[in-house]
Amino acid sequence: MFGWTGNFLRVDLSAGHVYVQRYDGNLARKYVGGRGYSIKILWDEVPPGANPLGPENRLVLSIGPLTGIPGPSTGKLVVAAKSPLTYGYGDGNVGTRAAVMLKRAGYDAIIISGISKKPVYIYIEDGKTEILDAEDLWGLDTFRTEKVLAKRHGADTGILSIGPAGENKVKYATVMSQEGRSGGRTGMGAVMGSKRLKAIVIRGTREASIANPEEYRKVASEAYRDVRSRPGYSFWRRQGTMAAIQWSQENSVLPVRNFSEGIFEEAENIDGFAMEKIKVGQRGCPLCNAICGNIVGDSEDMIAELDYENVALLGSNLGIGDLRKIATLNRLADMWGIDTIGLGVAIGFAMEASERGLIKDKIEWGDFEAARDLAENIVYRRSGLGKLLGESIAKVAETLGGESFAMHVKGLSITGYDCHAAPGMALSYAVSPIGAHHKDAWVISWEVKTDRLSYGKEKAEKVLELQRIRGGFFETLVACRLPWVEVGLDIEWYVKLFNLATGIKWGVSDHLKVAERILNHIRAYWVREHIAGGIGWNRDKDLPPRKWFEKPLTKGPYTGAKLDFNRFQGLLDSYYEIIGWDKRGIPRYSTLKRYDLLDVAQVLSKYVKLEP
Amino acid sequence: MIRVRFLGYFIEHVGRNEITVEVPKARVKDILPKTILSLAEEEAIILVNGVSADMDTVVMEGDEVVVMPPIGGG
Ligand code: SF4
Repeated sequence: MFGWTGNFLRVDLSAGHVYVQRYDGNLARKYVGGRGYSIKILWDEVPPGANPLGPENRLVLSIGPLTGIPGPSTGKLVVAAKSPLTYGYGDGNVGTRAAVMLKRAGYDAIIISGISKKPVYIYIEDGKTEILDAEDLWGLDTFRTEKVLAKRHGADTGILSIGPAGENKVKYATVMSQEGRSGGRTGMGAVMGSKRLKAIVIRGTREASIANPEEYRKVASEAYRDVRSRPGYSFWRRQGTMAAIQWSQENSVLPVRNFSEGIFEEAENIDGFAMEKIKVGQRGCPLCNAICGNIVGDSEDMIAELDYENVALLGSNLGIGDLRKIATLNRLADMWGIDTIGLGVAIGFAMEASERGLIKDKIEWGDFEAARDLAENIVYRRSGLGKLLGESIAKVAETLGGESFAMHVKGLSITGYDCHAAPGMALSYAVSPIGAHHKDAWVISWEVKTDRLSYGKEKAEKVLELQRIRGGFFETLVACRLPWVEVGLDIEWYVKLFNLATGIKWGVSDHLKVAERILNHIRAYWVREHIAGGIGWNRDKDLPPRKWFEKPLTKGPYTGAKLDFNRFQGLLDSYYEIIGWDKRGIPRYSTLKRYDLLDVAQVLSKYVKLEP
Repeated sequence: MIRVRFLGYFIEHVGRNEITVEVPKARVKDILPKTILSLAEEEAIILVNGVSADMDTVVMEGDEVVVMPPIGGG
């Protein structure tokens, strides 16, 4: 095999056992890598209905054929497991040297099972893997952990770690790398913590073997040059995703006060231009020439990183209009290893619950100190409210009440776009493969250019089109989608690079077919797990939060706007029809057959009767 | 006066983040600076007084036009 290494590294933490498994080219062609490998492994190996925090769950860290080989933004890996937050499929991608090192060490994935008796970390150096004692690291934040490990094993290793949030099994704990690269907001850090696995350190020294190295190098450097020549490139380097604050504000989609409005009165204090005034540097993922992490000084005189999502969720969504304070919250979240989006939604929920008198705690909109204290309380699961808010926001609302303002889909918190006046984006959240997330179909940019308030079929088509490219193509290669989304790099570059790396001759449509196979397989997984786990499956799981249907916007040009329940159901039907699912949102037998998933259909039929 | 504001990298192409135009009535495309015209035709998102519009939307004295690229938060 070229491009791929053909090896999986398997680590059983219960037995303290490590071995290498060879796999064949058929699997590579069918699932490509990253998210594709993840769903295949979880489906085959995690017993249906298994406890996500139990020994049977697998933590899968996987890369794809392009990962780690110099080419635009190919320094990412996918971290996946059955999610303790949603009880469905969970994954996230992390930009990290560990992705590059994994390829060089000679593996396409690390598959971790079992639970260690005491805290450990995994050290991989090419063909040698050790499970080492992490007693001294347990309790440390992710920045400190990485420093200690870099000192011990070398600063050129790739390191992934969890912080106290993961150790304490906060359900939206993440996996962190390089003081700011985070991934797995579906609780992948909690899964790692449940296995008592503190970190993974990788050193790889081998050259990846690719089919046509000379031509690959040539095309990759042309692609890098093309990234730099795009009209949006220099501004992207200035502001990165922070430019979206102003963009969202203008379009009335900036999340404000727990997604009650789309316009924030202090937006100017937290936008990309405000950020440029306090910016001291930039940081990014390996192999990327469009790096986008903005480094600023925070309110506690530390260095912190700012991106759109964390400013939207920990800023405007909490009514906090001071960028340095937002940066502090973000830095702490990264040190603790907790999802900034989930944290913003949890604190926003608490603020609204406090305002409505649902809880006794006084946490007012805009109160940075209260937000900081509550965040710490959540991470260390200290007392009452903090302990509860470490669960999914769905569970919190079940316990406290407040379903009407719990901002999530399937238990995963909504990310940075208010959808009162954006039905297409609401659909994108509703049917995302991991629960509410924009990464699969960031449709809003297209939606505001079309008939924005329409519930027409074209929106369902667009959501699926983007899911294939963003959630399928990029998440299997594995490469960062941002040079394509944000800077406008042509997708054909990646198709060419794939062919040169693997020696396979595929066009875009071949990749999109794989993408759709994966989307269907992931959906089958959700249905199987929810039924096997006793929580059942129905189409209401594909509904966006109630607030967007019930409480209209009160500010700006879209005042009065809210989603229409019946029309949204129609839009959902359109999506089901296009992708080949029945009215319950379950893949039809014929659809699974079309994507060569008959084995999946067979298993799924044991849990639910499939429509033809 | 019609106020035209630019967002994101369009600012760099226009060289400033806003202009004003003194006409009573015009189509959006007639009042955009030449440096941005073809890029805007290709990909701009246009709002008039905060509401979705396009290059052919007619704007009047007192209106505010926002012209932005289809960039975003990821
Ligand atoms: S564009 Fe940003 S997120 Fe993507 S690889 Fe580059 S630095 Fe990482």
